[in-house]
Amino acid sequence: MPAAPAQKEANLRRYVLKRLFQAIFVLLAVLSLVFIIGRQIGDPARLILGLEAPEADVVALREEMGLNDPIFVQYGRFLVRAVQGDFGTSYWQGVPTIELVLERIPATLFLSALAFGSAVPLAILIGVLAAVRPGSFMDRLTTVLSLAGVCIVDFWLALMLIIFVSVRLGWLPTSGFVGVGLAGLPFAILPVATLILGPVGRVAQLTRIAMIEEINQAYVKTARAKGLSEYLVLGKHALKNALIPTITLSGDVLISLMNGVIIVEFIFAWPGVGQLLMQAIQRRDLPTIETLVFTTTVMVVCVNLVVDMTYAYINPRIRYDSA
Amino acid sequence: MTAPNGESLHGKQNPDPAAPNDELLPQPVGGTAAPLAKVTLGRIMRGFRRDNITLLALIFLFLVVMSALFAEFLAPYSPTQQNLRLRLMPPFTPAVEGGFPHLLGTDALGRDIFSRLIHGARISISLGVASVLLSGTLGVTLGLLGGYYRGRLDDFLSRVVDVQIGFPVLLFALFLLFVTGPGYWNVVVVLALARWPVYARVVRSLTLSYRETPFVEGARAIGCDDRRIILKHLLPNMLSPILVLATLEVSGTILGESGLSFLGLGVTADTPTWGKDVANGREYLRIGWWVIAFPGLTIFLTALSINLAAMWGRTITDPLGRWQWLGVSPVLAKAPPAIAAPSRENVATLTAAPADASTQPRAGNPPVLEVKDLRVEFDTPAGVLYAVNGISYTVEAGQRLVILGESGSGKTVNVETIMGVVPSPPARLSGAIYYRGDNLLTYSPGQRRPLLGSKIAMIFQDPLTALNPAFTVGEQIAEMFRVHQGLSHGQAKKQAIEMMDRMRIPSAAQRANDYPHQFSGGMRQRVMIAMALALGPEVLIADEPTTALDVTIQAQIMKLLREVQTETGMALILITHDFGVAVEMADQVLLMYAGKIVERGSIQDIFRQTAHPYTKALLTSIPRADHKGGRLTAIAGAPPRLTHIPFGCPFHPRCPYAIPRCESEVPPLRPVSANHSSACHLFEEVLLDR
Repeated sequence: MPAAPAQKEANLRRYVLKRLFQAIFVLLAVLSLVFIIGRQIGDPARLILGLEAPEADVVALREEMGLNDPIFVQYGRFLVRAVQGDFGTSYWQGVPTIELVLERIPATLFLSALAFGSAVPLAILIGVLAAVRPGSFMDRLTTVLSLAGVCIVDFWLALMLIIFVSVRLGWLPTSGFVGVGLAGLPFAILPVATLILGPVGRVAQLTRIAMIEEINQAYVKTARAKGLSEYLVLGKHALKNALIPTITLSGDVLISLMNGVIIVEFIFAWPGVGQLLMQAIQRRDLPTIETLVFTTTVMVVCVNLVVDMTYAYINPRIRYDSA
Repeated sequence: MTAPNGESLHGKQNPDPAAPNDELLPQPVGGTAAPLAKVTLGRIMRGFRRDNITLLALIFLFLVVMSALFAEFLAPYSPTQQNLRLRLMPPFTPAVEGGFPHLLGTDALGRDIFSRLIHGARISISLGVASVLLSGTLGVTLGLLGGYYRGRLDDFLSRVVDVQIGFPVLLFALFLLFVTGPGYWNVVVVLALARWPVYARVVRSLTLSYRETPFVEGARAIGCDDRRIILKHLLPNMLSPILVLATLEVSGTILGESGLSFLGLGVTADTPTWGKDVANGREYLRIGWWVIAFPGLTIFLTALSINLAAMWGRTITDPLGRWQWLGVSPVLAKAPPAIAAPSRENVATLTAAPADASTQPRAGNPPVLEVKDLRVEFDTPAGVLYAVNGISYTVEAGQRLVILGESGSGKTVNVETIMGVVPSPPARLSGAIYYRGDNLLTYSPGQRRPLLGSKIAMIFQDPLTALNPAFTVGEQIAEMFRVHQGLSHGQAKKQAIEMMDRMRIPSAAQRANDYPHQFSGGMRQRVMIAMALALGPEVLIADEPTTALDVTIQAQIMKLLREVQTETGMALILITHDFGVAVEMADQVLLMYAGKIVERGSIQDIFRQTAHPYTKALLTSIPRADHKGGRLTAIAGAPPRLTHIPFGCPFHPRCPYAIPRCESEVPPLRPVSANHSSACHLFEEVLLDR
């Protein structure tokens, strides 16, 4: 039965609300986990003072930090501050951690955007060509890439690229960062290449499988019987359906990029949040690490929301009838 | 080593351990593979010789495991033995004291890299296995409980699994290790905590699917308690997918451990690890590439070998896959040929259709459509499939031709050949299909395209699958006007709405923006008809247009088709297996059996002067209101498989009239009366036999 426009609106709104509710649940869960791991499993006072500090100093600092208060008082205080974006002051830099993190976000966004923007279209292109011509070069490439993507460790790939492309051939800078924008591109090429190998393999393989499935659907025969060109039959009719699973996976791709930037920024001296995380770990800066975990979660949640919305847009069956 | 060769052996593969889906699991095979032969050593050896990549992978894995177990005996040097005279020596440097050469060179402290790699295997393998055992036990247990008991526990677990799988693992692991401090067991636990949801998700969905199967319900019915059902009935059935998944996870865990070691948060002890060795080489990447290259390569090859071994495991735990891998071809029930794109090869056979004398078009004023001696064959694994075996007919403007036949009689392939959408594996076509005197089989796809949809249009059996789910119906109809007539989006949309209105789709203007799944079956078929008739075709082919619909809707669609046919004067080719439809719609009827025409004539001729035993059998098998209490007769036997069509008359094995001649001589289509013919040696007898 046709849904009236008002009904569609209501369904859509319910869908969005449900997603938002889930997002809040996730944020709360991660905050609690950060609290439990950071305050209960670990001992922040001991972390600050180091393993060699005398016990008396640690006890004094615990008292000063309020770590001896009842756990619910501590938890409540932690939550209230976290919601305000206040995770405390960095032990290392002496400034509010949130400032440290926000300062690093543009560099990471630049890198991730370049990686995502090049990986997904490239992978879809490879996957579609592989599906359309079974046994072709692209088909083999898809298999090799997807296998290599799960077997090659990124830190090694990054170092090998530096050795051969930068040191031996001298084509690109070995590492560094000159800023976001066009001038920064040569510095971004190797980090991006390292980041996208795994995602390209996975997305290309999935697109290939999805596309092969769609090509066998009856509506493709209809499209051919309508006298459409193969370009329209495959590139419009089959592809739009094949993109549905691909979009779900691109959320995973963004998340695996967040993994990747930690290592890539560390190796290429790229001043983003990944590098900040490693610096904070080396300097035993718990508040900064907690802030990073939380901001990353916020990003993950936002990514998932955007993916869900895109998914709902491209897949009409979800758009109106779910919820 | 050419990885792509593995493809054909392993079929679908998803080497991504992070995203296990149903494809990962061996699909149940419908009992088609009869174990014909035993698994012999010879067969296994030959299997490995064909699949040498898997063999190499297994050998490499064996060596790595041996290194992990017996590193002290295998390594030529102690992994920590420094030699400051031999710092950063390249591969194949001979040893100073005449000992074993440094095969892979030495690092910045003069330690032998080869020996360090052998010792490093111990950490990687033991940690990988330990962590996978832990995460597997945790994940499988929670997945089983969640899937079996459902309810709150399941909801909660699913939510946790979703959240955790969608969270960057490395960040989570680094945070935990930062708090707990590095160390062997900490790494084991942290990686297990990061990966258990993968098992939980797979096992839960397997449990859900097995829960309702007869063997579990049967066990419950005979009073097995839950524990026994889970341990004795559910778990053993999931073992092989779990093992394959766990194998892949070992590879993922080894990679994870190496990453943590590289970042300095892995195993702290002095023992070398592959990840740490890569990190050690970082400072010397300008002068000693080998210090980094070999540990990383070892990680890569180990992970690759595990992945290949897991794929192999997936192949051989599947009964069908196992026999294929062993090179024993089981006798399979004939699978319907997969329908795929008409490929380039297919186009080549299309254009190569010969035009000998028997396939010349009728001289003078050509009919709209004329099919001459059309043959369509497919190569399938079960042999050549003869779908259409030399059929000829003409369709005049305004004519209603009904093609009657059982499924597998070649009636659909016949019309799909007209549309140029014949399924491949490349069909072999011969004969001719003339549209107004031009042989379509000599056209290239590009030449034929302007005719498709605009001059000859087709509607399909199931409108739900034949319409694209991702586009509005308005868009799908409007596309015809845009592509063939170059109308703008706005104009095309207007025309589309008008067409929907003509097909009596209520409130067409709004419904044009709806998607196919929002329509009822009958309305969907109306959309399909609107699309086919959009450009006023001269021939409309309808392939069982009402089979997928409710009985009451069937009559409405037929009525609509008859009305638009009368209104526009186009020719209609209707394919059906329903005599009732034929009576209602047909001027001319063709009866097809095993890819041939067995009888043709007007519907009155067919009914009153049935001249073929097959037609007669079909007519007596129709339940009739005036034969109350009479018995329904079915035709004895089954229609022939198109790969094994009987010699002579294809119907003779089921024919009550059959004589020896029917087994050897193909009956030609002979005239019975002016416009009525039959392909039976004995039609005179059939005619008389009332």
